[in-house]
Amino acid sequence: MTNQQKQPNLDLLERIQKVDAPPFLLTRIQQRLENTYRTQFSPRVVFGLGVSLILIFTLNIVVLVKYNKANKVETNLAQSMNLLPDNSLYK
Amino acid sequence: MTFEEIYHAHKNLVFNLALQYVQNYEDAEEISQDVFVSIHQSIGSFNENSKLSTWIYRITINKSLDFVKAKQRKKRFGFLTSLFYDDSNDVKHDAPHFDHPGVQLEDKEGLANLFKHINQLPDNQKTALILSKIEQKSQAEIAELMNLSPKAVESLVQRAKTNLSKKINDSEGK
Repeated sequence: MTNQQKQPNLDLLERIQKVDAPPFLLTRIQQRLENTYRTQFSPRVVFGLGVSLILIFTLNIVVLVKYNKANKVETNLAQSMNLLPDNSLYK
Repeated sequence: MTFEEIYHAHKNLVFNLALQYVQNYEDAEEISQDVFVSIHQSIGSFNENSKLSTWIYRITINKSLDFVKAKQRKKRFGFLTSLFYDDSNDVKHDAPHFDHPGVQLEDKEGLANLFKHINQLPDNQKTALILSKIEQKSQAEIAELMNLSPKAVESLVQRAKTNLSKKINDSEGK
């Protein structure tokens, strides 16, 4: 830096005064927080998702149990008539 | 401490620090909202071994710098879109304006000019200068806030002053 270069007058920065925060800032922050959490965790969405998952899970269990029962009945019937329980022609 | 208590204890600190980065009331208010929303969402991760005000200071500095960068990107994008859209009187992006409520009328012109150059400094130099000259923090305090050594802070402030001199003299054609 040469001697001819003008030094910046940084003393002006020390004259900046502190001011009060805006009066309704907290209200606006609380509104933003409410909107954020309402979008993410809407009770309706959570309830709907929960019910759907339970229904799907229950349906799957019912189908599996019914399939197993039907399979057992067919096997028993085929065996009692000395037949194969599946459709294969050759063993 | 509840969130409301934290807010009331630190609202002026946050707002004034944000003001030093953007120099206008509306932008500083927006940054302050971002800061307190962030505090609310991450208060659980706050390490109670460190000072709350230090943590809040750091969040404010980061949010202020992010805001400034986002505004600069919007400005650059606004220039590009103006090449492709019909020429109209619509304002495509906000022009920067100096509306610092903490500045006296007699200092407004000088500070507006000074901040024009401060805003061109690299982020770390700008932060060191703001914390040192406006927030009146000691080197040790700035070092803790910026996670640097006091020597590094001293060097940053010196480089900021040197860069400012160059920019001011270049703009005045000396």
